[in-house]
Amino acid sequence: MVHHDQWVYLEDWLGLKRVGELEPKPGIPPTPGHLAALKQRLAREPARVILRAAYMDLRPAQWLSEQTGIPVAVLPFTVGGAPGADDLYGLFDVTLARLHQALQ
Amino acid sequence: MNWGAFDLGVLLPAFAAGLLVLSTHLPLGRQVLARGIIFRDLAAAQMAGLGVIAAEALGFHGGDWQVQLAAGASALIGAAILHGLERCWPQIQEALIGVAFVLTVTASLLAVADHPHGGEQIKALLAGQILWVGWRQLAVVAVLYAGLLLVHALRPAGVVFYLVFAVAVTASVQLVGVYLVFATLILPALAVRGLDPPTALVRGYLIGALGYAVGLAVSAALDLPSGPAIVWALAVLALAGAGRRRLFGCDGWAGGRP
Repeated sequence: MVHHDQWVYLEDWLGLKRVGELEPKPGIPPTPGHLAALKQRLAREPARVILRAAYMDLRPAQWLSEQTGIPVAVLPFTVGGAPGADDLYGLFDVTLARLHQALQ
Repeated sequence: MNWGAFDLGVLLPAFAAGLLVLSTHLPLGRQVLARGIIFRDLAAAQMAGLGVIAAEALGFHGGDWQVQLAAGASALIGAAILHGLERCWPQIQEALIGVAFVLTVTASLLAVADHPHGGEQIKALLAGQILWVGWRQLAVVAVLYAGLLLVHALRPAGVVFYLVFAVAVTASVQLVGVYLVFATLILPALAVRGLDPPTALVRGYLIGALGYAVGLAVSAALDLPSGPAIVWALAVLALAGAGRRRLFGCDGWAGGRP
């Protein structure tokens, strides 16, 4: 489950399956219908984690987590995006560690 | 028509957020209207928004207390400046408030100029996203607003008005965005202009609550973003609620007031 469709390479690399997006059109707020459909889909095929980039608004992912009980993983997205992600190695280490932590 | 879109878990917190914002903004809006300083609320809402954006540009995030502090502080400073302007230059205060508004908006743009997602941040604060509110956030704002309404009831004038206004708007801007804050403040108050306090408040609250309910229902039924839909629903209901007298009779054609 993702906020924006921005994790294509990560999903491909780790074999993650994307169930849906919170904001399909960046910049345009989602409609109640979209969010209701998302909740229905998650009830059918539950996702294990909601991915959010550290720089993005925290409310959408938090909202969905409150509604569904699915944990949020805040990923650095790019070098400098989170403490520890100071270079390319750190970026991958922190990303994997946080994914792992959320999936526990 | 998509009945699946009417998910109360999605719509109810948003409606509650609307009622909360309405609770403080109707009495404040009536006062803004009575003083003839309509632009003031837009300027104040923008100033609170500027504080949020500036704090985020410094690397803090929405939920951090630093962001709330920055938003509150910039709204209070803004309130002090607006109050000063009103005292010093009453004749040109509307113009000065307009200037303060445009300076605040452009300051936000300057603050996020080198931020790759700055545009999204600014848009998010203007259009807001009423659907993202959670019950916990609403509980905090409810306690805050109860305090504000009490203070407002005890001392509705002078510098206290600006303080109450600044704090109320700081919370509501982050809850529902600048556009909905402006609409909630002005439209129900306009609809009940000239009525006496008890009737005016009851009618204003009814019009506002109905506006939020209809706007949310329309946005669910027609698959539209909720914030903009509510703004339009509020406008239509305010017009209808204003009644025949105001719809078909104007105050005075061309220069009724200087």
